[in-house]
Amino acid sequence: MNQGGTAARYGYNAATGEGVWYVCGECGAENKVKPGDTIQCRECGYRILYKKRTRRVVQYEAR
Amino acid sequence: MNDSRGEGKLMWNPEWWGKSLPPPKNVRHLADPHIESFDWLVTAGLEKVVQGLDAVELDDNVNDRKVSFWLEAPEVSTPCWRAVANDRRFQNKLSTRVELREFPKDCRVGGSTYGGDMYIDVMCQVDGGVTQRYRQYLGRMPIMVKSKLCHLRGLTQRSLISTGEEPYEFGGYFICNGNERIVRLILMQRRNYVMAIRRGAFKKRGARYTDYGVFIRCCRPDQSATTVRLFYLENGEVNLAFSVNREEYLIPAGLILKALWGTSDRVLFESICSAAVGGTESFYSARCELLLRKLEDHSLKTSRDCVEYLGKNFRTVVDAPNSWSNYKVGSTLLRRYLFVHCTDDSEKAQVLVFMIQKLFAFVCGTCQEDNPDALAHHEVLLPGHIMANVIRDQFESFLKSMKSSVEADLRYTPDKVKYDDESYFHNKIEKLLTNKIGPKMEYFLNTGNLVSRSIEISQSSGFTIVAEKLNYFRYISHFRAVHRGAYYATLQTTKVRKLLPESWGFLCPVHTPDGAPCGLLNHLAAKCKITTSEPEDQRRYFQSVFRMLVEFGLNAASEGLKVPPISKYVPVLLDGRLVGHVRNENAIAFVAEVRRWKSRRLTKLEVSGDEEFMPSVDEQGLDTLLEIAHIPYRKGEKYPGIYVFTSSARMMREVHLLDERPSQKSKPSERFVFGMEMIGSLEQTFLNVHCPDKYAPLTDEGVDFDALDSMYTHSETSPSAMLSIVASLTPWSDFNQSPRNMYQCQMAKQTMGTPLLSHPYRFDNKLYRLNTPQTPLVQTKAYSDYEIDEYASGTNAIVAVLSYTGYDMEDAMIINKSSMERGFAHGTMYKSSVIEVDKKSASFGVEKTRGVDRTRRKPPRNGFGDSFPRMVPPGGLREAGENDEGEDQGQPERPSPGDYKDMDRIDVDGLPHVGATIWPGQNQYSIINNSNKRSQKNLLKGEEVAVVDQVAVIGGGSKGIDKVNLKMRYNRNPVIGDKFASRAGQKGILSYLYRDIDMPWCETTGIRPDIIFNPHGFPSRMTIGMILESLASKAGALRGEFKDATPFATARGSNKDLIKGFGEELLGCGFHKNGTEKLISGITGEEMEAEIYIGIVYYQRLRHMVSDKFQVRSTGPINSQTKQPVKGRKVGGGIRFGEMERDALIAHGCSYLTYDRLHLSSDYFIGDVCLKCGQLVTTTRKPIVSTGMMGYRSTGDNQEMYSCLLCGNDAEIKKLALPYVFKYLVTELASVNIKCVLDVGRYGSRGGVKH
Repeated sequence: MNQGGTAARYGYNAATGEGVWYVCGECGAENKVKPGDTIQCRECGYRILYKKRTRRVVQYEAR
Repeated sequence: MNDSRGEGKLMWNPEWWGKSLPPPKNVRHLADPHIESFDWLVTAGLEKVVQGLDAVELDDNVNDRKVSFWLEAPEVSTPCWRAVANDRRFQNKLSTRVELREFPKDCRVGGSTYGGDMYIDVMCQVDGGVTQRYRQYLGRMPIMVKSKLCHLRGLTQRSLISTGEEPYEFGGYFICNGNERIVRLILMQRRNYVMAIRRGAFKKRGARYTDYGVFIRCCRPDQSATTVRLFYLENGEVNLAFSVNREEYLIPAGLILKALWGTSDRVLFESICSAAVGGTESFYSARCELLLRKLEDHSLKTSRDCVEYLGKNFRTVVDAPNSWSNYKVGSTLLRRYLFVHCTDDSEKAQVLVFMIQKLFAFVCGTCQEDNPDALAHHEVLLPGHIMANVIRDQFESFLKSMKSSVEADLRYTPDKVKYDDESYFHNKIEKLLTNKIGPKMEYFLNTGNLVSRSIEISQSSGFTIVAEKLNYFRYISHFRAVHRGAYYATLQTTKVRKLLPESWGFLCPVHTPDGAPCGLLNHLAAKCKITTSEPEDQRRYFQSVFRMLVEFGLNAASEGLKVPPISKYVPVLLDGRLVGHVRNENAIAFVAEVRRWKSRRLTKLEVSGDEEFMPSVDEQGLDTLLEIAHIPYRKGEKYPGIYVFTSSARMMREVHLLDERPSQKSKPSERFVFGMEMIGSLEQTFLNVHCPDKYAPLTDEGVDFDALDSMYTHSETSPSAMLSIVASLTPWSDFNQSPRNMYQCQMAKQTMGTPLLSHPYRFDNKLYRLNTPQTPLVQTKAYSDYEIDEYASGTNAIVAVLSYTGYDMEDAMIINKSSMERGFAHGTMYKSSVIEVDKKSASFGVEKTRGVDRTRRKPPRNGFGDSFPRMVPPGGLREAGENDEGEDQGQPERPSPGDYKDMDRIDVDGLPHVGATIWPGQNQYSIINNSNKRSQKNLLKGEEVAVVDQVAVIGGGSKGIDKVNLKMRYNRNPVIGDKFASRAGQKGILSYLYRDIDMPWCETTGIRPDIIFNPHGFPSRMTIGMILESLASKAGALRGEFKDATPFATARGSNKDLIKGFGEELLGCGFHKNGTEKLISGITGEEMEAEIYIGIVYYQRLRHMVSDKFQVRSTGPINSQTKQPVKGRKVGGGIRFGEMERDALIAHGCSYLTYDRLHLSSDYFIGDVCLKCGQLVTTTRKPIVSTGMMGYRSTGDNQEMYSCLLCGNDAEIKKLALPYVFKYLVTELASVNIKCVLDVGRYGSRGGVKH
């Protein structure tokens, strides 16, 4: 259940402000949104984007 | 959803079902009354509303001109993304990729309203010259899902799935701010039907008023209604009452009658008196004479006199311009507010005559009072109709305000009024109308509040409710629920709540909640339909029905014709208008002829193969929904007449129409089914409908109609047709004690099941989901008819009826721990919330860590005596940037560059990682304050661990993330204290998760039960249905079959056959025929003395779970004023130890426990009391003067340190344990100059509290 850790482990860097990938709710295209970008799919113009599931190992208690 | 299965039935392979299934279309009709009425609104209704509103005229005396305003061409568009269409970036893609249609899913996820743009033309005309037309945007009007304006209309199942909707979506609701809301169906008085009512309140209207009255609720084509009432006065006079804007006006009925009917007094007299029967002639004639003579006192001789008299007195009510003549005002009044269902004055006069006749008959006892609570006199207020009323109200007030606005200009700034300048009107209209109506409709749907003066509905709130998707049953029940009206909930009497025989087949007798809304909130029977169709051209349609009636023998009424005596002729009313008479002896044949015509129309419709049973606006469809109630004359009973209804909002259901072939020569007469017929609730009261019984039972071939009593003219299609959908799902409900079936209906709506299939596209506030749902082994016909299997909500459990270990006492039940661990009744709860940030002050983002301060690290908080108990991750709550290695080395860890707060679960965009676990008390997401760049607290509340399920970012056109929908998932596997129930109203609490090895096991098979149910649950509750289900499921499981448990249908002949049949099946599989088995105790290994009844029962898991309910505290928050523990589970409060609990302790003599609960564990406080003056509030700590500083001694409890400010005494001050509230009370009393003295004389000598 160790969820602490450094940024290097997760492969992103907040300082560079690279942005986060989202999935369009209409066409499924992947969109990278940086802070200050408009929330809209570049492919189809749809306005609802879903956050992608984390790439991290997720472990749940199965008791 | 497998491709190979195609579009149709998705349930299972019919081959192993064993019998053919009906085509799956019933479920699509569940919300028909809602959708069809909304369709009416947007196709014809709005147009009718606009047509029904008179043009508003005003006199401009300044310029000597006449101005009039009216409305035309209302229009509502389908929902679309306008912003996308205007976006330049997508211009070139518009034709190919970009979807402009806005779908319900988008609104649900985005928390917005599903609506279309609404427009109208405002027409202005000056001096009858050129009309100016102004097109106005009225705002976004909410659109009902699956209505004609909805994009989902007509989509196939596959397209529905691809748009992110339910494959079985049936619509009927609105989406307001992301919530699904529906308009409640409310019972109203039946329109266009004259009701005779005695009510004490009538006497309060004035002197000489009696409690006799007759009412008619008249409906305009736009579905707005006005009521006309006649009151009987002690001296024999009749007064007519009508309301304009909720203001009641009373006028002598004779005046109105004469105003409406310009004929001689003799004709009036004779037509009223024609209804007199059996020695009541003198009663009629005397009162009729009085009615007419009264007019002479006011010298109103002609019809025109009467109209002018009305015009003179009602000028302000009509809001007529001065230029109008009295006659015009009077006739406008009559047209607008009286008998609005009629088209001309002579029709109105005939209705009034009929009402007077009924009133007289009522007063002299030849006719009986009509029961206003009977369903025969009810209709349903439909969503489209109430919305039409709201819109009409808005339009009416707009026209009024337009008029008053111009009038105000004329009065104060006449030079500003420029009719020729287009912008004059345009600016005015824009100010009063633009974007005004849409928000009003949204408000109405969001709150359910009706703000109106003109709508005649007794309640003003509670019109809409959220359609909770708790589970499928609850969801569909919302659409089928019919409420009696909020007013009736306040009544002390239980009369309105009674189940009356008139409701048979229309409202379910089983499906009503117990408790406060019992009998007021009913549910429509599964097969009950509500008429929604209105003819496009009402006048033409009436003519066609009228011609049909004449063809069958109606003597048409006409103004010139003398009204025939009622003793020989029965009056025929078509939608509340007298259309003619039929000779008494021909009446039965006449009605039978109409019924056959009706039935033929229905058969034709079905044969024509139309997929939809009720075409929306088709005259053939209308014909089948004609209701014809023949009430024959019987002295002292219901007023006679043949009442024909074609209007909408009536409840109807289908039955078989029987007919008889007369006997010929050797052949005896033969009865046969003529066809299907739709019958209404008033109609049904006067029909003999046969329900299959033991004399003429329902066999595989149908009912043997020749065995039937000849009085029956109709026959039920099925004996369980009276049940609602939810009630008809209870297996063998005919074997249960009736209240158990009611409980089951309630509990079915509380089960955790499969609320929906489109989980990825749903962000409901709260959703429960059963992870392992199963198809019940025992099911009724309705289960497959209504596709309940797609939304299964329970598990087949092996249930031993056994008293074992004592943990199954008092409705508790034992569950096999291994069964649970294998997935039995596992569940999940989803909670979603929309998070919005104000861009100006904050934004989503993360806070950079500035190193970790180890010294200020908080200890893990999960110990006893914590602020309140809560779940914490192993090792306690951690601060940002820590990790295990750091702890091991015992030195502060330096943060890496780019580390930020809560980075174990929150992404750089400030939103949580999808799949991350969040513990209570941790931040769920991160919002950064723009001014100080620090993150705000957004802690997960409650005691449960949540997992981030979905995160949807909602764009609104502006830059950056400002709106997010966050869906959290909570594990809800069974724990002790969770609630379960069988389908027979048998609920119980899980009391122990028993080890599998300790469970008893069957000697022959080795099977261990999933559930142990205590046998004491049966004798008093008499839920034989559950016992039978257990037996049948067992047989079914062994043989690989599903068993049919449709109530009333399967038990042909005697119940023994059913039980015998299952017994034989069990025998054939090597089991005991009674369903009992030898069990071996899992604890001792000994065989049990008795054979145990063990079988399979479908168990539901109810949504009441301990995780939502437990409330424990040792210490916790206290009220700052009283220092007593606060109440409320949410804030970690305690449970009140009240007066009655205190009484119990006193009765037991538990004095220390009383002291402990009420004082030590509550607001224990040590006060200082002056022994000399007995004061509590004047004692104070003595300042230490010697130091020369103003200060108080902070340590020590030496008595000399205290003094009394009042008496100066500093020697005799004692410490005393008190409830803090007492000290508070004394202080409060002191503040209002009330002295409170404690008599502590004796106490003082004994010493007091030791410290």
